Amino acid sequence: MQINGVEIEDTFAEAFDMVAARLLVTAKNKKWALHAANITTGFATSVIACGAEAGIENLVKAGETPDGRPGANILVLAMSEKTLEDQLMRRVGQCIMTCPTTACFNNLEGDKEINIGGKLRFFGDGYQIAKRIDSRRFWRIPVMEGEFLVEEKFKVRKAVGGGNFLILGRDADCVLEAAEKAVEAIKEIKDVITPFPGGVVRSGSKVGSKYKFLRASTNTAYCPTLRSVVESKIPQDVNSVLEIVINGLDEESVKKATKVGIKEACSVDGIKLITAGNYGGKLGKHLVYLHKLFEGNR
Amino acid sequence: MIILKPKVEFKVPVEAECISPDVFSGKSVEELKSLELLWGNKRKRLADVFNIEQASEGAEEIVITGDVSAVKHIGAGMSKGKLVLEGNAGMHLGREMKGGEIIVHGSTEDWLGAEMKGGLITVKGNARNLVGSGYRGSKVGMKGGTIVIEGDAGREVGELMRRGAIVIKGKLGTLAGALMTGGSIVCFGDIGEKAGAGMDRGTIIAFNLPKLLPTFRYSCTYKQTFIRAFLLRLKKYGLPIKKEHIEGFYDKYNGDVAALGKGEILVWKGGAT
Repeated sequence: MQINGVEIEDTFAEAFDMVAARLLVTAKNKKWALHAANITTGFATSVIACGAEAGIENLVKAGETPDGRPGANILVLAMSEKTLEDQLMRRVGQCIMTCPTTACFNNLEGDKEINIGGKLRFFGDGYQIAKRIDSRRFWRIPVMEGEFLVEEKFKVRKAVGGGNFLILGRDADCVLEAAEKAVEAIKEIKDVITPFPGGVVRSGSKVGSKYKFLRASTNTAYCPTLRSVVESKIPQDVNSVLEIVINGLDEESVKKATKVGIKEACSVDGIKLITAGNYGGKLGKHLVYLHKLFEGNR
Repeated sequence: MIILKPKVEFKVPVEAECISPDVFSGKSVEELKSLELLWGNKRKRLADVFNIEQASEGAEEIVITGDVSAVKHIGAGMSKGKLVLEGNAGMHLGREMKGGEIIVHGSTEDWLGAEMKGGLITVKGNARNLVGSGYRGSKVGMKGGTIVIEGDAGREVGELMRRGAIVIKGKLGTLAGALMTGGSIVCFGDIGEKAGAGMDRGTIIAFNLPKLLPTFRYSCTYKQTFIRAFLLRLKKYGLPIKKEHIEGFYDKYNGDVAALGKGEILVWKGGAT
C-alpha cells in the first residue's frame, strides 16, 4: 500500500491501557497559561523514566473556561491511578500552583476521581477556604501573589498509550519536516497528545538491553548508523527515522490521529516508508493496523 | 403537573408540609385530595382548602395559584420536582429542602429555605427574615443549594450558614451572615449593619461597602479567581453581573476576629486598586 508514493508497511502499532486525567489550566493571559502548561507537561515523555506522559491537548478561549480566562487543556497519563495521583500532586503543586495567576480545573468526565485540591489545600496552613460552585468543590489556597484556586477532585478514566508510527526518509531534514507536519495535523484531533518534544521521538527504544541493569535501550533495528552491523529494518535509501508517539483517551482517537499523521507525513518529498512499533501483540491490547486505517478511503 | 388553587380565605395560619413533589409523586388526584394539613389547630383535607387540578401527566411539578402567604412549610424537605408559586408564599417555604426547584413569583415570609441542603429557590419579589438560616437551637443553617432573591431580603439572612449560596439582587437587612461557618452570600444592593457578626468562616460578597463591624480587618485589594468563576456561574440566574464585577478588584476584610476569624467580607472596588 502506498500514499503519495510512500510505502505503508503492513504492520501494526501496539498500544496499551493507561489512565488519564485532563487538567484545564487558566491564567491571566495565554502567555501565563502556557507557562504553566508547558512546565506541567515537561519531563513527561515516557513512563519508562518520567512517571507520567503528558502534553498540551489544546488551547481554550477565555469564554469557554470556568473563570472566563484563557487556558490550556493538559492530558496526563500514567500506568495506574495511584501513579497518576502522585504525578498530579507533584505537577499541580510544583508547576501550576507556583505559576503566577493560574487556576486549575478538572475537565474530564469519568466514573472515578482522585483527590488533588483536597490534598494540596494543606499548603494553605489552615487558611485555605473550601468553596462550592454547583456540585464542584474548590480550594482557595492563599499564596504570596494572592490565591490559588484548584478543584478538589479530578476525574480519571481509562486511556490508551503508546500509539505510534515511524517515518523513514532520505535524510534527517525531510524526516523532521514530515514529523512536524504530522504533529501539526494531529493537534487538530480531539482527546490525543503527542508527549515527546515537539511531538517527535528521535530515540525510539526496544525492550531490554545487553546490559542487565537496563530495561530499555536504543531501537537498533531502526538506527541508520547500525544498518550494516545489526539486523536492520532500514531500507537502503533511508538515512533517518523519527517516531511519533500518540496517547489518547480512547483507541478511536489514537487511530484517527495516527491516520491524519501518516497522511500528512507522506506529503513530504523524500519520505520512503511508514511503519509502526510493536511487540508482536504481546504488550498491549490495542493494535492499530496501518493498512486498516485507510480502508475505504482510497 | 398539578395545579392548586386556594378556594377559601386563609383566616388562620395553615401548615401544609404535604404540598411537596415528594409527597405528590405517584399519587392520583383522588389520593391528593385526602392529604392532611393543619388549618389552625384543626386537621383538614387538602381538598377542603385547595381546588386540585391535574393539568398534565405526573405530579412532580406543582403550581400554586393565588396568595398562600398564610400557608407554611410548603415544599418542606422536598428532594425533587418543581414547585411554582404564582403569588406570595408563607413561612418556612422549602425548609430543609434537599433538591428540586422552587420558583416564587411573589414574595415570601420568614425562614425561606431554612436549613436547606440542596436544590434551587428563586424568589422574584422580596424575602423576609432568616433566609437560609438555622432554626433557634440549631448549630447549623443552610448546608447546600442556592437561593436567589430578586428583590430585598430581611435580617439574619444566612445565619449559621455552612454551605451553599444566597444571592440577593436588592438590599439585605441587619446581621446578614451572622454566625456563618461557610458558604457564600452575595448582595448587589446595600447590606445592613453587623454583617458577618460572629462568623467563623464563609464569604460575604458585597458590591456596596457595608458599615463593617470593628472586628473585621482589611487584608488586601486583589482580583479573585474564585469570584470570577462564581459570578460567571451565577449569571445564568439573570443577575446584574457586569464585566467589571467579574474582572474587578475586591477589598478583603477578614473576620469576625471576635470568633474564629476565618470568614471574609469581599467588597467590590471596581476596575483599579
